[in-house]
Amino acid sequence: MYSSRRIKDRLFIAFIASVSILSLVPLFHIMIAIAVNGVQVIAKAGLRFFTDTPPAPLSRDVGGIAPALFGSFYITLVSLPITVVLALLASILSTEFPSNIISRAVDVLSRSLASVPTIVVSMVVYTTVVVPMRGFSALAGVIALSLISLPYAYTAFSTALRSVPQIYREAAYSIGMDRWRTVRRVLLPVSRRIIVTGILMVFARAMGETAALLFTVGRYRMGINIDIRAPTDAIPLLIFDFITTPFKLYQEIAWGAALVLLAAYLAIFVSVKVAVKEVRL
Amino acid sequence: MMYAVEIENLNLYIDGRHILKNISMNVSYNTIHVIMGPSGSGKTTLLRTINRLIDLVPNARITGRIAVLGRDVLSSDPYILRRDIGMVFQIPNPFPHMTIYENVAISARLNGIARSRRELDEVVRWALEKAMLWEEVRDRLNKYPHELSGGQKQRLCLARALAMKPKLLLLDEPTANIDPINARRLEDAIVSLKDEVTIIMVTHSPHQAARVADSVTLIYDGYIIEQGPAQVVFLHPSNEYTAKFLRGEI
Amino acid sequence: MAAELERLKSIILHMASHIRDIVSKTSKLFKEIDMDSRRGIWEEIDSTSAMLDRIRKEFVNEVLVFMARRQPLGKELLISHTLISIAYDVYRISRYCREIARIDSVLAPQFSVANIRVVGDAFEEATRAVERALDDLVRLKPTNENIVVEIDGRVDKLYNTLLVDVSSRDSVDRMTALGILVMRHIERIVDHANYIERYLKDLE
Repeated sequence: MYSSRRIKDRLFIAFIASVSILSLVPLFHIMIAIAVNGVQVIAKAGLRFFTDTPPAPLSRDVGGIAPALFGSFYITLVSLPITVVLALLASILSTEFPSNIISRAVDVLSRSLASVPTIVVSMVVYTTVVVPMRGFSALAGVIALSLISLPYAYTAFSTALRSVPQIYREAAYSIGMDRWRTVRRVLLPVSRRIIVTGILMVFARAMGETAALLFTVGRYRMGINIDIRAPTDAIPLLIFDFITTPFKLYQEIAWGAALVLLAAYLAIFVSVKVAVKEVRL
Repeated sequence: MMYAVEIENLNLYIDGRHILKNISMNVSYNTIHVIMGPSGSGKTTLLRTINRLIDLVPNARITGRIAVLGRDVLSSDPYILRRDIGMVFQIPNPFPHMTIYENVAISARLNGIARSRRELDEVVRWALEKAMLWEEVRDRLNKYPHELSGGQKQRLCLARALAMKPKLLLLDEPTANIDPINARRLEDAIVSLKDEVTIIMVTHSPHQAARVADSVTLIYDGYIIEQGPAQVVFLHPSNEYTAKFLRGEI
Repeated sequence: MAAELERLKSIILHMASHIRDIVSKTSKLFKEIDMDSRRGIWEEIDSTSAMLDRIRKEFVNEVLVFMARRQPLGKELLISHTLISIAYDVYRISRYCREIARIDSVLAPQFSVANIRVVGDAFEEATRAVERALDDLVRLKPTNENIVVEIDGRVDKLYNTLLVDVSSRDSVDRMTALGILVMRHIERIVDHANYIERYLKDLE
């Protein structure tokens, strides 16, 4: 029997469902657009897309994005540990000693730093690192990325640690664990999934950071520099530069680079979700 | 060291509020002493003061004297003090990221009770048997606690507390969140531990107190109303509040 | 809980009123009365004491159910125990009266317990003791404790005197032999009255 209540119920569910799908449409649109455009380019270039340097603007060869690919991973993987370690230490300290003045200062600093525009951070690093070094460098990029990621990582880790129910801390104390053992053997392991997710997010954001690298890494595309004091390139920078040129070849390469970035994201997310076991409370 | 626990003129203030009012209480060795009273009377707070878990509460001020196994509690290092005091909480809290075996073993290993794999196996088995859980988990020691029922989790917590061979065991309403059958099993396990450990248990049920207690303290609104041997208090209460509590009226 | 206890108390008071009745009927047997009356009294004592036995069994059951359900502690627990104990004492008093009636019926028609010296007075004492104990039961307070203890002492002495007398002789006559039996029943009745006082005292 179809009472008006049932009809209202069904309508509401349909409404929610369609709004949810609607909100996912832009995401899928982006992903499909990148996939479609990017695949064409990579198919044309083959594996050399990952090993060659970018071509001249009017060449027939597609070339590759090797410097940017290397540079992105290089800077991100160097800045990640720095960020994670600092943020983890800070969040452990502020969780264990919430009323300590240093903890409160860290909290305030973190919020302030988070609200500074990334381009401003880039400029500051330019003045303090690039200028004294007399040149762009991967190191400057690492410093800029770390500064930008720190507040976010700190908040994520603090939330993770605070999300562990107090009863487990009490249990740890009750069997004679001291503060640090409790953090190491109970709080961190119980919140490991959230922490790893936090690290992932930091990694993803860092890989996609553009403004931070504008005035720091130097856009060196001629080859691959392993020295941290030498300039290098990054995928978002390459995309930004190439897509704004009038050259069709460069624009295609930009799409290809975008697809590579997307694929890297997906690969990282999926593999870590699978590898880190959930802790069921 | 005449008593396992001696409390003298204990006063506790939290944020200025007077929570425990001039508490004096003595607990003999190898007895089950029950602190009973209506909800909110301060019994859990009193228990947590004994093993300094009250330190986790900000703005807590304590005056008076507490001695556990001859040591002054308020001036001791709480982390070292807690190695001799086991505790079981109201909400079962086995470590979710450790297996059933590891939950019990870590307690023993941390406190130097056992080191080698063989020793640990023995202690784990002993503790689980004492907690009356061994038969139910003997073939799934490498599984995780979330698979257990509430009552089983609580017995696991008891085993974990026992594995460090404490001299004093504090139980904070251990059966509050468990079904009645498991509650009785847990009570039986507790009573059987008397020979090896001194036990202080908190409950709001006069009947549970009557079932397990050798001696009792009745707390109401932060005051001690009456205390003494169970036989005396349960048959011949001298205070009208006590009689009311026994009838279930407060 | 208080209401249920009141109900249980009222049952035992109801039993107590039957006891008063039985005891007063039994005391009549110690006076010279005709056969028909005696026969009537034996029958009434018989049926009342059988009824009291049934009531007692049901009553004990009800108290146990009350204890299982309400799990009383403190004073309520002591009262529950007292009720069960006193129910037994009350019942025993009726049994001993029945035994005395039986002796009277065996002696009939030629003799009666009224013919036995001393026992008549002793039973008067017993009646008084039982009355006092039952009065205290109503109040749940052993006010008359001392009086009952006194009577108990006197009756004990009487019984002892008889025992000594009988043991000093090689053979005794019929009346003395049955007399000592009656005396024994009277002594037990007073004992149970004394127990009632004692249980009431424990309640305090």
